[in-house]
Amino acid sequence: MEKVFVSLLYKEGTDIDNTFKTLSRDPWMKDKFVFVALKNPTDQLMQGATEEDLPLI
Amino acid sequence: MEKYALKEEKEKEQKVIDKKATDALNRKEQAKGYSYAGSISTVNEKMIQNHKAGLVLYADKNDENNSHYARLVSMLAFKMSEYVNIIIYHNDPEKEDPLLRREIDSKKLPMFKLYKNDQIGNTKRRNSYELELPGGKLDISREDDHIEIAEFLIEEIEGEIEHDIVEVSQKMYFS
Repeated sequence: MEKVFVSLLYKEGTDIDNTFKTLSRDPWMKDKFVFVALKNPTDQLMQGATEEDLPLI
Repeated sequence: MEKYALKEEKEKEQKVIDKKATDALNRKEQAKGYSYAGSISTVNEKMIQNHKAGLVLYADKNDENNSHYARLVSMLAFKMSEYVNIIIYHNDPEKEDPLLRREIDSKKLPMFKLYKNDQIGNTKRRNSYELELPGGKLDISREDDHIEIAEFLIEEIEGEIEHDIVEVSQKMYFS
């Protein structure tokens, strides 16, 4: 079964957002989605967004 | 991590969702607050049968510190209501709800009880526990202490959030 890949991009000095954490265990979502978090993303991942825009999904 | 890595031939579809939409992560300004439960059945329905993490303040309805506790709860709700259900239950000692003792063992009120996320029913009830207020010089009856007490509780509650997030490096992300 294919899963939806959801990435949280966040910056050094902050924690992974707690709402994002709880979403990863939401009973409806947890079998259909994969949640990953990446700290300090490069421009390649930011796709035009800036550091001020973090955190981003 | 490998089980989550995309196969090489599969193109990774990336979307950076509009900033406005992703502000769902930053809704701290939109705290919805907390609610009052009029019965233990309501606590059960809204809290125990809900996968979201929960915090219940059980207090006697005539407790002299109720206004202080309400202020503290509103601080907690401002910070956490997006991911924690917060309920106040006021017990009437004259007409105690017979179901109250199913939720709390101690007769000592007020009491904060934490219910973990991703659990419901008896499992959630069994794994719940009382949150102790910080001791020392901090006093709930002093408004100046509320921020420090709230920070103490928030740290405890946030540390209990269950999640399935995999932290990856840039290299792993593109593997």
